[in-house]
Amino acid sequence: MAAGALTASREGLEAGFIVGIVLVYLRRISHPQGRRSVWVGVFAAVLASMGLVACTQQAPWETVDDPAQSGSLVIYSGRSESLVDPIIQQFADATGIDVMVRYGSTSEMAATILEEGERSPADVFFAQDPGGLGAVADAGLLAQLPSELLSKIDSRFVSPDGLWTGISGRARVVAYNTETVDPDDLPDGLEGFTDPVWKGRIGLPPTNASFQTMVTGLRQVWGEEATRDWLEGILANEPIFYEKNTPTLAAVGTGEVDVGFVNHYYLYRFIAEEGESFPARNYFLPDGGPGSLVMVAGAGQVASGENESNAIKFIEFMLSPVAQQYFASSTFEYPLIEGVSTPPGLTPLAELNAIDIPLGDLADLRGTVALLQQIGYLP
Amino acid sequence: MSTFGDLAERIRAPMAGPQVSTRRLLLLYLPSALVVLAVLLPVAYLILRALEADARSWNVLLRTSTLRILANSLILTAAVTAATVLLSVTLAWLTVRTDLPGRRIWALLTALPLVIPSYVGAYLAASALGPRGLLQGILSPLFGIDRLPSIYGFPGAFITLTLLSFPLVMLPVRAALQRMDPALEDSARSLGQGTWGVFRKVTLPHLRPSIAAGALLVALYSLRDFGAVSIMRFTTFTRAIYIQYESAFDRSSAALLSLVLVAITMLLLSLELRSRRDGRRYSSADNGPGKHARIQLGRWRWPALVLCAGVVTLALVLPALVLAYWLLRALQQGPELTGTLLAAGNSLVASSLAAILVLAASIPIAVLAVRLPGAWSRWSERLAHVGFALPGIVVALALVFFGIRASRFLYQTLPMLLLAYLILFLPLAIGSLRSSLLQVPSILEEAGRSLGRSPLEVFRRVTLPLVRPGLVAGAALVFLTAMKELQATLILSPFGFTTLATEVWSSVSEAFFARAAGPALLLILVSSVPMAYFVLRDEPA
Amino acid sequence: MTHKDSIVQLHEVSKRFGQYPAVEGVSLEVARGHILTVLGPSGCGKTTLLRLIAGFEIPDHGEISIEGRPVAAPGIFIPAETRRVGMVFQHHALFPHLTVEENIEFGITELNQMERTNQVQHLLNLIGLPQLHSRYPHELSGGQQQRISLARALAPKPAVVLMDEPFSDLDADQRLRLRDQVRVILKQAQTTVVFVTHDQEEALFMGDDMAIMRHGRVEQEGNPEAVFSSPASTFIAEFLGQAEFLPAIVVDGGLSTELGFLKQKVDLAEGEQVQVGFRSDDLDFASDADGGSMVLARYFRGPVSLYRIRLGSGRLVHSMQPHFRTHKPGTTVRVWFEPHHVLPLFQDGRAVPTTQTVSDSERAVSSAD
Repeated sequence: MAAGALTASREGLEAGFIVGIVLVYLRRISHPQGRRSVWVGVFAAVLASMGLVACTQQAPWETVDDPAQSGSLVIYSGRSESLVDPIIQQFADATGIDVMVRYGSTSEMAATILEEGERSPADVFFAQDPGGLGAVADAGLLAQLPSELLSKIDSRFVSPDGLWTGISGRARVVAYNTETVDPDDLPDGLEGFTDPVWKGRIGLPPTNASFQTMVTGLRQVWGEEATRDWLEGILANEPIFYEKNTPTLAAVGTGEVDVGFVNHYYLYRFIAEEGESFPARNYFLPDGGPGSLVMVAGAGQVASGENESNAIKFIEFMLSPVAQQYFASSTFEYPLIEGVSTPPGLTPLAELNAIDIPLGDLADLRGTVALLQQIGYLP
Repeated sequence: MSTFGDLAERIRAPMAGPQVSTRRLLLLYLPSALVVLAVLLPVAYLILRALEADARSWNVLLRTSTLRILANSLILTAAVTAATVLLSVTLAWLTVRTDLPGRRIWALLTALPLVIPSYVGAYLAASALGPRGLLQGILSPLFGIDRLPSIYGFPGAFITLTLLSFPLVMLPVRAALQRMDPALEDSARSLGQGTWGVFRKVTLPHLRPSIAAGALLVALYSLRDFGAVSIMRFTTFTRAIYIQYESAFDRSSAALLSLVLVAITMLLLSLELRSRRDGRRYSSADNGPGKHARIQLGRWRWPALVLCAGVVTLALVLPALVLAYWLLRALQQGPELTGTLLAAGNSLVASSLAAILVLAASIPIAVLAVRLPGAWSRWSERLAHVGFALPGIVVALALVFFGIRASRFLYQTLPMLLLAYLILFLPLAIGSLRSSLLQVPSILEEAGRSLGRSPLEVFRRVTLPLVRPGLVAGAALVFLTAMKELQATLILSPFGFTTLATEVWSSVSEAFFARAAGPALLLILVSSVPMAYFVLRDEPA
Repeated sequence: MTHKDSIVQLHEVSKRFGQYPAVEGVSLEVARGHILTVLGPSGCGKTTLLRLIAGFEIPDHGEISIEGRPVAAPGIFIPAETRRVGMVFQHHALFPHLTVEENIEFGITELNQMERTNQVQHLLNLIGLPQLHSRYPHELSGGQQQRISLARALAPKPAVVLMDEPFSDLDADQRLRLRDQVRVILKQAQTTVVFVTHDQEEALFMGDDMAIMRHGRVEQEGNPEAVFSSPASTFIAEFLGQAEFLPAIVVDGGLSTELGFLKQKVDLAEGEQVQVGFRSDDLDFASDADGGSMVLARYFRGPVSLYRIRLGSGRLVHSMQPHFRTHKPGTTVRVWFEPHHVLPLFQDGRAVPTTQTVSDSERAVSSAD
């Protein structure tokens, strides 16, 4: 690092001298117009050198033949950099693997992998929700995970065909504004929100995968008819639609709406940013219905990737106590392995009265999307 | 096809030796064909995917709700276009023709909203003006206002898009006003027309080509915008496309819908081209000697100032204030500079290279359009616009599809990202280059050739220096648009290549607003520099 | 004029734009060091002709050679930049972003900076503007701009200089002065020139040779004086000097006209009908109550006045008188011919060939006195 800085400053100094001399000479021969050419040249040179650096970044699939190196790993992550970069860095530091991550939204990353098909350079697909993993698995692009790996985690949180595994858990909650809502007035189950007393006070993000997963759960547990009735009932209460969980919770905070159907961990993010005085809290529905769904963010190994063993190492690491502890304490998500304590302030998983729906059943979003479009939640 | 016939005829020009047509072929027709081919890649991709569509996908396309959404999109586009034209022409006229106090500053400030990415702008507007946003927070203790009327839906989307895209019309209109021969308006005035009459009967018709060109860009911009309309919760056609990718993972349906977008683009293009054909009468009345008389505003000065101040406040000051507020919070938490600076460097490199590449690619097409009008030049100009209306994700996926099959070596490298930028932003450069070229009479090029210089040399020594203002304008426009680009960058950039736009998005999407403030501010500041340069230097002293 | 001396040769050159024939079957030669003026009304094809010689248009038929080398012929087309043809345009076309010096230098290919500067200075001296090196075109007057244009065109030492109505943008005063200056410059530089104009006075003054064009064809070609005094058609006679015409019948020894007997040798049979062409200086008149003609108007032109007279037949003619001879409109007058030279005769618009030369007509006049 220091050597590089030294070289750079030395070369920079030399270049500066040359440019200076040229400029002075130009002034001497009374040819001031030439100065502009000099500056253009400098700019072009800087651009070219930066561009050259950027262009010669090694592409990830150019494998390094040196066996002493631990190799590389390509991750496509639908989870945001601000959330998972620290733990990925930990993994990279611990193993010496050269980890290259592409960040985007889960659906964008899924679409990219689907488009790349069997040529995809990705080794791991780290997704925010099962929908994306399901779509990629359905296209046959994920490889079967080794059974030793899958045995580390409750089978509830693994896809039925072993193609992907959950890594951290998120519970569906109803966030409410503490200034306008008394928690005692909140209904025990989701059905209670179709009561007209909630008219104009509900916020939800219909395009969000977690919400859609929850509706899929509703379809599983209640059946199509009842789900349809509930959706129409909520719609009759004129809910406000938001893009994602974050704006929904923000709206609950400002009082734009009184309650919001979100995932549990966003609240902690807001409290960390704005302080304990943030006027919203989570309400876990006590009735144990499908409104108390626990979903997962997960990962799968992409079959076409070239660093198979590193991919498995990564997923193993994500299921290790170190990583699980990170999720619990830094992102406020539920750890999925035994022996890691629940983040403070969260109702432990066991007590959550969470409904038991196999994840595989939740991965199919198409039907839900069609239903939501029919009723009018989605265009 | 007539274009090939045309092309063949030029090659077969009677009595022409091989020298003339080979050169034209190599320097103009071939490059323009290559560029058009690149721009058509997404269309090819869309057709391929659309062919896989099953009955369900066609259902999605032909549902009433889809058609309703299409109507929504078209209405929003029409409204935004009309509003931007109205606003731009007024502001342009005020800052160029009248004695408005502080003209130069207003000229610069009203051009700046273009640097604000729409997802940032909409977010800021929502936080500022939402029913319980910052403004309400300020007004509540003073006036006891509990909720502001909701700006979500059509009003919010309309306001945001208008305020952020009107410079696309205002800049060419200002340029046209500055170039106009004062004799036209003076003679109208001497024939008894009042200020309004002169404007309506002489100035406005003269401005029609520039208005049309800018309006086209605004229309395409609002068609393809996703950030603002999603935050403002107005469902447009582009949102419907995204939902297909996002929720249904259905690329065929998305492809079908995208092809509809392409069709609408072509329609808008032919409208603009038709209006431009009439405008050709006016281009000879440019660059007349003499300066324009300044119109005295008198009492009208105050409403004019209120208008300018209002626009600047809504479009610039408000977002800046909200950003500053977040930035303060960020500074309290302890700033993280290194990541942002690295992203800034990347943004600069990518956007600068994009500006140069797009400019170079636009040269053959613009030259053909102006100097060698014919079927091919019309078509290449038209087709060059196709990429501008497509959502970034479509272009990105198209390049994924072709890139990974055709050249794995280049896949996910900077050149491929630059190719995406080329496809997305080509029309921005073509427009300004075209209007600059129109002002260089071909007689100058003939003079150069008669003095023994080859056409290429004449282009370099005569044409290029004279179109420099247009080149700079085009480059600045591409630069700041590339700075804001998000979708394609996420999917196609090399690993670890973060840009300011991706930084902002990454933080905002997880509600880390304070963390977003720094990159957002930096993004806006860096983009403002080239904009300021080329707005200010073209001002008359 | 032998082929060896001619710098520019055109042979049966034609060019159409779509259906419209701009230039048809034009054959011309320009001798070394000569100025050929091409004169004609708007739309006659003269500019197209110039552009064909320059190489900006490709002829449909015919051949063009410059300095003996074919530059346009079947299977051959030399582009403009290699033809060594200089051009001066109507609107000066100076490069606005370059100084006067840089403009003039543009076509010079010597690499030696000193030689280039010398050449530029020499040219600036030639055009009489020795000090204007660092000015920009927009800082100069119209006349100066055109002279710089000329210098620029002369700089690469072209084989021929083409000038396309270069003075039309200037006001009358500038035009006259510039015309003089430019002709002197061209002759000093011994340049071969093709000069296009619609102004007949200019054409008569500038050219060593003249070609009149109409509807894409060359109607007549030759020495300006010869063309002026022996126009080949009524169109040319009208175009050059505003000739007017009266019908006449060939009689023994001359022509019988409304204005009386015109003594002139005529190579036609008696009784043949012709048109006599004349100009305002060929008529004289005097007050005469029985004259049969009437003065309609007087146009004061300074040293001369032009009178419009209606003849007994109703025809209108014009007569030029020195300014001190005034006649009021409405005066009855008698009009007669005072030709001082042989008047051209026309049938069906074409000139009747005559064996008489100019000197013959002079002798005829002197014997009449």
